[in-house]
Amino acid sequence: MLAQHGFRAGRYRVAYQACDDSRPNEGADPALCAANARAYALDASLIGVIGAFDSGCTGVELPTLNAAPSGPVPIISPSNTYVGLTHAGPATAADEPDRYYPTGARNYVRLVAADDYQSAGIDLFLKQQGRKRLYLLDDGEGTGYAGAVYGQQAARKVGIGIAGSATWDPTARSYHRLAQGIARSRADAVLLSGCVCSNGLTLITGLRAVLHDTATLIGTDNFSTSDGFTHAHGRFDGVYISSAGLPALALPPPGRRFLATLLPGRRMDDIDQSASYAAQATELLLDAISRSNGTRASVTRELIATNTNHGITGPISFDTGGDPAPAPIAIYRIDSNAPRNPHHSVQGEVFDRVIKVPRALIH
Amino acid sequence: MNGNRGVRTLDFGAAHSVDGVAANADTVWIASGSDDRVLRVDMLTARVVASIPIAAVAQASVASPYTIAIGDGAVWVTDALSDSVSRIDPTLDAVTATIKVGRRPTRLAIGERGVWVLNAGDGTVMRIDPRRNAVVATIPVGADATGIAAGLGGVWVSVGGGPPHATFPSVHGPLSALSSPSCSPVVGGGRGAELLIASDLPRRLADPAPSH
Repeated sequence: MLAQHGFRAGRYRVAYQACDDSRPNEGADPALCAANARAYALDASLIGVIGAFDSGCTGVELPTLNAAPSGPVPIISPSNTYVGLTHAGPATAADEPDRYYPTGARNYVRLVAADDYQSAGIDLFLKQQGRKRLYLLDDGEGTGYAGAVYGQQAARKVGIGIAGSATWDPTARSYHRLAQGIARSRADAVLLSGCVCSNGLTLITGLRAVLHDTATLIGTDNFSTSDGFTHAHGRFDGVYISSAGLPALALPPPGRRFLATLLPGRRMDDIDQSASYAAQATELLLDAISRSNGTRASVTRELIATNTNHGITGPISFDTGGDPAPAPIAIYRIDSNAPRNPHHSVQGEVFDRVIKVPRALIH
Repeated sequence: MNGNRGVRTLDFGAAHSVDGVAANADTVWIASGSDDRVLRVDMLTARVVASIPIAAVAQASVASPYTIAIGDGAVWVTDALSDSVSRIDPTLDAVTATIKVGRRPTRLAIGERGVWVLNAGDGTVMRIDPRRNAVVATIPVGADATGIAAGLGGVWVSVGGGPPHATFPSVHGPLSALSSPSCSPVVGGGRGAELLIASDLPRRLADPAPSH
């Protein structure tokens, strides 16, 4: 993207460094995140950061970048979803998001919807499916618990009743009793908020053995897996999974054209979402720099003032907290016969639809 | 089968997918990733005459045959999700060797004294010696490689997303480089670069960690 722009942003010539905050096959490393943040904060010529990929890493970096000696460094993340980075909610810490902005000035925006929007999107999807009674399950971890809380909050607003809630035990060998309890609650939908790594496949198997097709099962984005669905002989087919942002298949024409040029010959469903969102983040930062007076404060102002209808990922603007609008949520359906996508990190899912979540459902 | 102005369409049914295709004489070979099979199609009769199972290597659960090519007396297929290449003997219609390669092998070329495999997941090209059924060389080509061909005395790799970073002019202007060891050299901007942008993202295809 930078090369396409000739390393220019309006009248400014820009240079680039790619930094990595992760260890191979381990994901983000907080120590690397902290080291990167210190390096960013000490470099007066740094005008902006694209990242981090992981919310936890952003949480480590934000306070350092906000308090940088030469002024808060503008940051745009293509992928963060943790709610507390931008706004408070029923499952955020008491000092969030203020702890990330010690100067009091905001310097962060994100491109995809926060987790509370994702849970609300799930509720809207279930409403579209005609579901009336939702049972909330979480894996007891922070992200899972938060997703269930946000799901409960939005369910009331969209007119879905809460049939019950529970935390599943990731070490359990059977979920038969849990499933029987859900059946007795007469739930016609179950939210699985947590990680597939928390014994999620056994959980689904147990729920289906009792509930059969009487309840729609839908997992939050952590239920995606690289190949757990593809060799299960259809056992998980028909379960839904949500994810913030749009897959390549659902991008508007500018996004599809961009990807076709970047990755010629590649099927759209074999392109990871992160490619288009990283490009969009770069484009918006360059636009903000081009409209600025070359200072960090000015770039931050212009970044937050972004309002475009022709982005790679579609129309986008930000609220004062840095959250995107619109905030689409994609719904996927598990299908063991889905085309294999070797360039994609997730297998066995097919894109089902996009849910647009109104801001009024959150605030 | 439908015929229309020289175009023939074969329908293999919902059980199969068509991820890769190669042809010789009267035979077309199809890589079907969805059911881990290679189909042999007799074009004289337009019928599938063999359905060859492609097994995943021990550490993987699915093989997902993806790209297919013919050469050195064999049919070669990349098993994109089990990080291997399968060699099929066309006289037996059976896999006679499974060769472990790099991460996410997605492209294949045959010629110039080897079977050449592009591993999209780790940005390498590997050369397989067909006499030994073994990888004999590994060449880093970068994460954005998209295609490979062998011929004219060399092996050619296409790279998406613009030129590789190393070809951009280095910066000698007023910028100072970021000091973190995880950061690449400064690229772009030329001597007059005034402002620096950093990305803070994983640089390799990762296993799913969708909670961002």
